[in-house]
Amino acid sequence: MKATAIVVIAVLALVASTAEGTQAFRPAAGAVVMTVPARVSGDPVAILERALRDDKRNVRLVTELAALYLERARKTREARYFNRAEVLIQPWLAAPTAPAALLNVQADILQNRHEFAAAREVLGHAVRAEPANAGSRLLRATVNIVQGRFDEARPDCLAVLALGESSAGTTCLAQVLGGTGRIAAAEKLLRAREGALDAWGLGVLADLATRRGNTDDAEGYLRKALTLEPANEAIRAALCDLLTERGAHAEALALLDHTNASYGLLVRKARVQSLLHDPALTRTREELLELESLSERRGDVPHAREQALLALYVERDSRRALAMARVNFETQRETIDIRLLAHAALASGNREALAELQQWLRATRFEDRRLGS
Amino acid sequence: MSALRLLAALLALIASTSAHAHATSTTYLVATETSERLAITWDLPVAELHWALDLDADGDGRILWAEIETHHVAIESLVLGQLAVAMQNVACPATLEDLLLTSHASEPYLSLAFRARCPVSGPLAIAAGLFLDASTSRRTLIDITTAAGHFTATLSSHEPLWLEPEVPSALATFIDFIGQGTWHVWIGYDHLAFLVLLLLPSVRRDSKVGEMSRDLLKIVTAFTLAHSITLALAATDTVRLPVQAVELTIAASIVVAAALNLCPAAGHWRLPLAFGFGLVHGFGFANALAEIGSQGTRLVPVLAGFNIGVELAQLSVVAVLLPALLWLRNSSFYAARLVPAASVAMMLAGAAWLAARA
Repeated sequence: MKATAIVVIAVLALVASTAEGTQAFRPAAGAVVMTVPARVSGDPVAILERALRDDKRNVRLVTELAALYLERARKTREARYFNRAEVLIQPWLAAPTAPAALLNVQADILQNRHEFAAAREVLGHAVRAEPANAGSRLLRATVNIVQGRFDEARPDCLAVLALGESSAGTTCLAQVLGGTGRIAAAEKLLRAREGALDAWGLGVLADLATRRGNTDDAEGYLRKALTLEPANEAIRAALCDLLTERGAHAEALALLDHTNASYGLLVRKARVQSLLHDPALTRTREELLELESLSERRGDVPHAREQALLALYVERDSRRALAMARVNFETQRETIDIRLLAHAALASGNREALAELQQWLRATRFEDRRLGS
Repeated sequence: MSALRLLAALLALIASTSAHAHATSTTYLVATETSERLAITWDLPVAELHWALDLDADGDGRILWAEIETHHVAIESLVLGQLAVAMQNVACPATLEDLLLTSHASEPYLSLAFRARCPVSGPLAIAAGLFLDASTSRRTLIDITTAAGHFTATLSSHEPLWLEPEVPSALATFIDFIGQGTWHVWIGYDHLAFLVLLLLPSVRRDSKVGEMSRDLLKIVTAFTLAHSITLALAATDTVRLPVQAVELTIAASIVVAAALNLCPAAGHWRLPLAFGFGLVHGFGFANALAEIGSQGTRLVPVLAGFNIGVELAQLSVVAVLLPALLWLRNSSFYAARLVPAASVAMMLAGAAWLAARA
């Protein structure tokens, strides 16, 4: 059976080369078309879905199920759960008395689509409705941090701490400190609770360590985080980037051996393959092109960060890389986005762009030793 | 799990952008109108159908083809309930003819083959609303071929309906593209430069008008013939060349033609070069035509119109330039200074374009 599954999937994967799809065919009756989570008794999602069917107007059930969908989306990398959550909460959003927990779900869906301004607005409503909902504060802080708005995030991180969530609040605060000139303090804060950190905390600690030049420590944190959450793409991508920059290309490639790789991971794969002069690069580029043309036909907004990565490290088109990096910087200002802008500006010899970035770095006091700041 | 811990777990991935390549759901619908019927193929993600219908009959975590086939009726009912086809506002009943497996972007899809019979002929309308619910990231990509032409569109929850647009008549298209072709040459400084360079040596002080006209006619005809051929080849997708290579060669053609004018002894190269580079310019015109786009219109009026437009523009350039050159040729200034000077100037321009396009 497994062999059949492998064969079917392999055939589909091999033949699939155009956006229009492969030649349709009739498989054998016993062929495995797709694997899904097996039906288990006691599956919380199934239980909630059943409960909801009997009690459709129960907003608490709706919120719980929606949050569970989001968790499952991240655990299984099956992003359609986001769609399900969105559909589920839709009828409730119009209501003026939508509870904060529900608004948190909506904001999470929005930020996942990079609609950060919309997410912040929704969270503003949530915080006003329930000032003691730590989740709303944490989510808003994190959206602000992603956008490099550390000062705006600080009060929310402190509020999370004040509401009794010390673990999440500490990681939140560490990010703010790290972004505003107190990176040593930030690192210290997290290292004090290193043993108890979740994947998110470890990811932040790894980021701080990298920015201080301790890539060995960073690698350790990232590897540990990945064992805790193997489906976490941000962690995987960060580790891959670290290994690639160190020259451990084969290791980096091993991390990326995924079916259904996301666009971001495919770009990293292409980068490493390009460095290794691996002939499989052609196939990876085809896959990327396929995803891009699909995205274009759908009218989706392109992912500027990944486009910049692709342009800089695979296509070696520094002008396009800078253009994309700048567009990206408008919405996202995480460490990777900052470095991307710096490298693209350097590669294309654009002093003006570099100066602008340096000005922002000085104003926020964001530290990254690799940037010389 | 406390609500906050749940949330914190979720936030672990906040940094993850484009984490989910398929954080989007896409279905694909292709409709082809033939004389007897409308053939529709709608490819739907197995994952989505599974969620709607629970295709895993024995719940063992593997969806077998046999399990899918047992859901044939349910699938048909679900999908037909969300597919509406009409012509001239009269509904065309559709039946499911076959269920096959395919894939898009490395994910398994069910390919449903429908046949619809339309009682009345006319503009087509298709509504394909399956999975286009409140989720804002779901799309249906449609690809339609009717008697009037070929169309592509994207349906979403905001726009779940597609209506065949009114296509302009062949004559209207033809006339429109004559204008497009003419305009393209008039603003196409590189084509104009090449043309002028070819023409300059035709007008010689010591030649008779008849002889000059014949020479001019030969050169322009060779150029025209060549670019018409390649324009047709490229526009019909018979031959495809990378855009950058074409642009570079066009710039190079200007440099070469200019250099040729500076060596009167190499005059016999003018005709073959006019033809040879004309071929490349034709690909350049095809790129321009592709950028204009011609959705839903027929190729023949587009191509014919555009080509004629190009010729008209060329003729207009010759008509303006020729009297001026005829008037100038009797001055010793012409052969000694004008032709070389103009050629050098255009050679430099060509070299600059070459560098810019590289």
